[in-house]
Amino acid sequence: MIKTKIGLTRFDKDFNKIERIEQPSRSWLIAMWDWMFAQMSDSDLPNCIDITNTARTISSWDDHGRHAAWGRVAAGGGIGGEEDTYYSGSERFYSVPSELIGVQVGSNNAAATPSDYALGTKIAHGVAGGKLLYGGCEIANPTFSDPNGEMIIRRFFTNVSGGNVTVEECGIYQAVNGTSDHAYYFCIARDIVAPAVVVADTEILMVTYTVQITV
Amino acid sequence: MDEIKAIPNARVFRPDHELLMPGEMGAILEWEVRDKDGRLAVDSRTGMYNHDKRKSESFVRQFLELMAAVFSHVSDARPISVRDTSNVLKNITTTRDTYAGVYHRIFLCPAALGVTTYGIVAGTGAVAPTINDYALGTLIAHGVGAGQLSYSAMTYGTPAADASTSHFTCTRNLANNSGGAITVNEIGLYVQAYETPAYITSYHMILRDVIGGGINVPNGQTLTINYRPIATV
Repeated sequence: MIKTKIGLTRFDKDFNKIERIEQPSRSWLIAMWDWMFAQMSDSDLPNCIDITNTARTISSWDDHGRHAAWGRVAAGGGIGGEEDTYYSGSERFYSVPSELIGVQVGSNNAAATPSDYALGTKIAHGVAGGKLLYGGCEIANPTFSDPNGEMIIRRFFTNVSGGNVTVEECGIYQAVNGTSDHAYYFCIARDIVAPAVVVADTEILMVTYTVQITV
Repeated sequence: MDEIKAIPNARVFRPDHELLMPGEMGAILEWEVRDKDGRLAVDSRTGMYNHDKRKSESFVRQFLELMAAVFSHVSDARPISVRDTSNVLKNITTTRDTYAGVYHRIFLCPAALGVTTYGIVAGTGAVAPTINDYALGTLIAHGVGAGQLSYSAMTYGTPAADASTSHFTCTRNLANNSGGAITVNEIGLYVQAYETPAYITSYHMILRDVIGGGINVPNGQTLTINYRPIATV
């Protein structure tokens, strides 16, 4: 089976570790299966609820070459970070803010359900009060040592808001192809962080999802 | 006086969520064998109905590697190396610089009738799985010859969720018209990916389960296998 753990590590501005907490991830959501179903069955799937609570039809592919969106979780970050998520041939159509993809953090501690479509209250990307600066989201190379294997999904968040920011939930957003010339964004995991993690001004928070398999 | 006998069946039906720990993600493996009239068959070895449901125990390394390829959106310039079902490392990509009507999809397994390069597959190998397994021990070929099974097309049940679980189902029927009994000792899931720079499809095993004692599939009966990817909160 597959188990996932979440790590939240706070660093000061000089990257000295202040605190690390770990907990099991309990909340892979139906959007994960929506995407995988579309891929495995090579079919369109209607009524998939994206992060804006809108029903979308997703696809394993389309004839517009929209493969740049396909299943993506990794993202660039920082000020002005953006991702190309829609190509037609070699032509780029548009890009989206990188904080729409990858590991997310929020401030709502309502219990997760399999049908959650977004974080309860996402902490916005930015430098103003109550915001965190979203860094890049990276996928570490999977490692294996029989009978185990693991893959780490990681993102840094920097608080330059001038005050404390409290993280009470985290999750993963994924870009997926739609059938109508768009990429859409789905929440594939959402977990409550307990106890909450308070990130003080100038501190850096690293959030990791470690996906582990054991035969 | 005719003697009336009940078929013994002491097993307790276990809902999926009772097979999984809270927070677990994985797959349920479920199978049943039916006779030519569609009735659930009795396993002559045990006298019990020939079906079962259990956790799929063995996601193998290619599963994580292909997930990493998708999640990181690997490109032609930086593909991920993944071993295929013929034990050859392939450079897997999800993009191509120029669109050429080709598909860069990963995890596809909509196998048609008779196709065993991807989809749910069965074998006779009984060696315990390891994380590095790249193929079934001994794949049972498609056909009606001795030792062969007739593979149907793959079918799928759409995703659904209740208060605690979300899941979807992949299904395949394997009919035994070989003239003799066949014991299925292992079941796997092969999926398609996309290889650069050749821009051709490649095939990879992501799951392998070994069934202790095997599944007895007599001639004329059909084995139905469900893999149900599932997550619990």
